[in-house]
Amino acid sequence: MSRGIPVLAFLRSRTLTVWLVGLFILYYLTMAVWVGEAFGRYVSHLSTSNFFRAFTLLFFINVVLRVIDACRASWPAKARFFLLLPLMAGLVVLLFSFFMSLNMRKAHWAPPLGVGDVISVPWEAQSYRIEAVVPALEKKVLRTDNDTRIFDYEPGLTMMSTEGERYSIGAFPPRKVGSTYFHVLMFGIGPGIELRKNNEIVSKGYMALRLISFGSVDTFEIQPFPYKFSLSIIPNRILKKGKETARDYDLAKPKYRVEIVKGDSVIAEAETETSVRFDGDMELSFFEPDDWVLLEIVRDPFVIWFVAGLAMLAVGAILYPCTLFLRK
Amino acid sequence: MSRFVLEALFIGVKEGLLAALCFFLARAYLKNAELGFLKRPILAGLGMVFLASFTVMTIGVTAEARDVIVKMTGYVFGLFYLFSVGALFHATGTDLLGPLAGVAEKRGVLLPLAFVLTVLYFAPDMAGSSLYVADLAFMANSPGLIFAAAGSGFALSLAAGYGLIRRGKVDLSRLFGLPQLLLSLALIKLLTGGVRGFAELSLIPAVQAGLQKFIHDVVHQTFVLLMTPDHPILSTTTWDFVGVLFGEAVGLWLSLVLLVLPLALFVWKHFGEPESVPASLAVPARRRMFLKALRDQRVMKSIPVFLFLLCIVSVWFIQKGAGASNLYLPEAKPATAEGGVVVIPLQSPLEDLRDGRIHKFSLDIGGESVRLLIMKKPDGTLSVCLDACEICAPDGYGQAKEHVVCIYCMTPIPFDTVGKPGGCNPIPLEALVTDKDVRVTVDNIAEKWALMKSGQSKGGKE
Repeated sequence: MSRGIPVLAFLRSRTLTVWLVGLFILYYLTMAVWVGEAFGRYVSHLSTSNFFRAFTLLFFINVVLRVIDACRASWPAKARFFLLLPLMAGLVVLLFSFFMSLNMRKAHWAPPLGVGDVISVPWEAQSYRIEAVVPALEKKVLRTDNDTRIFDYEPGLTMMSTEGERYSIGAFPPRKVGSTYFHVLMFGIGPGIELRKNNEIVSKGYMALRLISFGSVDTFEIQPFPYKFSLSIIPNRILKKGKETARDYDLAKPKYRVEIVKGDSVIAEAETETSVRFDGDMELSFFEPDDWVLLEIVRDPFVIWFVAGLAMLAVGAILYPCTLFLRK
Repeated sequence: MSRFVLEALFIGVKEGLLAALCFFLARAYLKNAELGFLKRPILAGLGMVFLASFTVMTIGVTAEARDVIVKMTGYVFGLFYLFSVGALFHATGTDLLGPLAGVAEKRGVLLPLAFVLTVLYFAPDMAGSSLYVADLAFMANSPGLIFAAAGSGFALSLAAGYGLIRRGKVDLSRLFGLPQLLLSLALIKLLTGGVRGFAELSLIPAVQAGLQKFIHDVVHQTFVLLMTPDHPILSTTTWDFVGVLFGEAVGLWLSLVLLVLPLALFVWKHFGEPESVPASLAVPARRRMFLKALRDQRVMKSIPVFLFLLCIVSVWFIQKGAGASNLYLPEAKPATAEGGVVVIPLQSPLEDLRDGRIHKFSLDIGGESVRLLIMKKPDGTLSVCLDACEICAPDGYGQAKEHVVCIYCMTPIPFDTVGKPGGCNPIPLEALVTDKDVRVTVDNIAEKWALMKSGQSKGGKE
């Protein structure tokens, strides 16, 4: 017990705080200059390395003990105590929830989803069917030179559980269903593609490609065929008026720039809304595209604590200057 | 006098004055702390640095070694700033050394420590400046004159500085404890630590970039935890709120706060310490004299700190990327090669290569990111080049009103000469420009990039 008191005194000391903060700064400085992505690495280590976890826990214990000491010291002056409390408590809650969130969070990124697809949540015995996708783009899109928009709306989807309940999921804020958060990460257009050989359909379906923003090129292959297809969306029409140029896109019937590679050679290039023939008897056709979304599914019981910690810290930062006008 | 000679002279004078000033400040501290025996290891360190810089200038170094030297200048600033903040906290009652305090006072520790810190502090700057002088000599018609200008500037300014110290009766020993010395050294490095002559005088843009990156990463991680998606798909109102936190203004202010906060805490603690008068001083007059002396000492010791704060706040918003901020610096868009050929459309919804602006593209070749630069010149022709020149480090180009500008040496290149080989011009590539796209073979890009890195393409020969 007598050994515990000096240890406790060290754990609650400013010396320890300065050393821990100084070591973190040294780590960050070294990694940032010589390796790169220092903070990202630190966050990654926090959830994988026991050394970093131990360091952070030691810092957390030090902060908690010093917060307790600060609160005890300010308790006789009640006004000062209550003005300091949000900042102190917010700091503790934020550090705790940040650490726990990184270590306890479970996340799942579903592959591109369209209408009719089923999502299974890995940690729940529950699955959901996609009933509708709310697109992020109008079907007829007009873009001028000054237009920097990529999307017109926030995308979303409607999904239905096995019990028949419907849920609307948007991009932000995430929607909590049961103990799991859902939100849309990204939206895209999946061209409808039909591959024919000798006029017989050998493959048909939608291809979830990253073609947004317009002009972006994405590639795909259709097994077992030895072709690599590159696709990008180009304007259906280009309108010029004086110095202004506008590009008109019809997403119900997009115009694609297609490049087909076999081996090391480009065997076909075309700009088409319908189809392109290549390699003798092959034909690639397009039909109306479908919309797809990327969904992030997260289970994190501490995210609400993290939000609370941020809010308390914000309130505390506003109230803290008022303590300077109070006598100790 | 040519611009190169003037720049070499400036670099020599700058380094000489810095060496003299830093030695002067260190001497003031050593005198105050009765550590005069440390002058010798400091002088030995300076001598070692000078020899190393001379060697670096003559034998030449690889691009990787250059990169290390440039990074070291900023790293050393960070280290000295960190040491100074630690020393400030230690001086105001937070015992950081504990049982190591006795060890830290031994000569066996202090002598090598003084030597190492001297080398650490001066080596990157002097080596970096030496390399830049060597680059100037390479670009100039008379290399001998460049070296002479740099050498004589250094020697004269060092001698002048030393002479002033000896003649002058200024006693700064009251101002300088260890924390104040370290902080002053950090400030000097921050304000004058650039190693690219006129193009980069201080480290402030680099430090700003580093601190802003930290703030950006913290904000980004917060939004990841809050499950906020990529900003293009957020509604305008939400993104406007999020976007403010990623904006330059917020980044600059927060990075300034990060830098000055420890010093502000020191000042607050330093002046807030209770003034305890020894009980043996019973006479009121003596107590008053003691208190006055104590307060004077506190003021003196805080002067370097206030100076640092004043300097930083003054230049922070003026110096933000001063060199490159007036240039148009587009991000390099990724390009891919198909069948050994890079094909870049002339026109896409977000850009037109023929709009008179520079356009950059990056390509991965053998694990290395290679950048291309495409631009329509005033004569209507499209110029396709590497985003690098034959001489400088491949930092690329920005665009000013009538020139493209090499970011490394800030040399302006008239638009008309872009695409012509030689000097600081971007290295031209063999490109096929059709009515729809630009085509360059990967082999050509790789060959020119390798030649550029090896330095064999110097002199405009392809």
